Amino acid sequence: MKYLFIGLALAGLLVVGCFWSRQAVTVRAEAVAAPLEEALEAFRAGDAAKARFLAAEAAVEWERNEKLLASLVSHERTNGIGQALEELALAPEEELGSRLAGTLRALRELAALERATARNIF
Amino acid sequence: MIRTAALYGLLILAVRLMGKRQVAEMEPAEFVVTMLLANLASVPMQDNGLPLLSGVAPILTVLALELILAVLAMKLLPVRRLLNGVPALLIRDGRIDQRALAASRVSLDELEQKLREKDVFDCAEVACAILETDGELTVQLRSAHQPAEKGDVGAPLSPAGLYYNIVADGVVLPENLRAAGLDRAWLRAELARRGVRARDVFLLAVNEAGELRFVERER
Repeated sequence: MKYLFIGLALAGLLVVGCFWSRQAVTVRAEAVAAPLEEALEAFRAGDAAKARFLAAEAAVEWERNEKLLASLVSHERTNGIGQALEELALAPEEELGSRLAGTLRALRELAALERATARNIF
Repeated sequence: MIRTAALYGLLILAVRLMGKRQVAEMEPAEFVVTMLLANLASVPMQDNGLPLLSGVAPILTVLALELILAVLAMKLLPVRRLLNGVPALLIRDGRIDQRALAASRVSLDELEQKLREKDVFDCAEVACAILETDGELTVQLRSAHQPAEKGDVGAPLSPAGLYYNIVADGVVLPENLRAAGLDRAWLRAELARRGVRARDVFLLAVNEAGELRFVERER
């Protein structure tokens, strides 16, 4: 019976870990996505300077959360998002909008990958 | 290196928790688990782009499932049958059960090979042959073909004895000393008689009949 309890405890821990991991990735990705979304709105409103400022804030937020995210999500994705955020500061104005949208989409996908949906399972 | 060491340690722990049977003859479920663990560990070991957790979490999941199912299989017959199957009686009183053979998907050639591995060259000599759930064939010969034992030929019987290693590779094993019904005073006397210390002894073992086996350490 001892091993049954160990197995059940381990299974419980893993389930809790799954929920925590999903929550952690969602919250942290959202923390970075929020200023990016504002940046995209500012760009669409014609204020490119404000968009770059907010993108820089998003990059700082990303740096703060990158370590934890890299321990939960593949490094290929996190490296890609990190690089995209860095390049936003230097992006020419005509590309700024699409890059903001692309980076935002990548962040939203990070959170979506953690959910137990049919798409992710199969 | 750190990732490899961490995953290696985790695998050792997982196999230890799953029990000694994992390293002996394996039931189908145990075989699957062993293969899975090896593959789950190898990918994050080699690919630094994957988080360590992507190897640890599946290994722990497999371990948890194996522990739970192993206990359920032990307690509940339907679960045991579902996971491991049932043994099949392939030969009875020298006759091969062809239906059981077909149901077990064992060919005649395979059956004969397994019998030969048990030094049986004629099915007619077999009282029963059972294909166990781990794939091993257990054979009982008909009494006319069983080898003679000491009791059959009236040979004098000596008490069978389990040997207890008292000193192994220079180290005294106190639990074995107690189990053999001996004490340190006996050990000191025995070592003094041979003019050695414990650390000079490669092997000192004693059986239940009091017979000693002594091997000195080579210098």
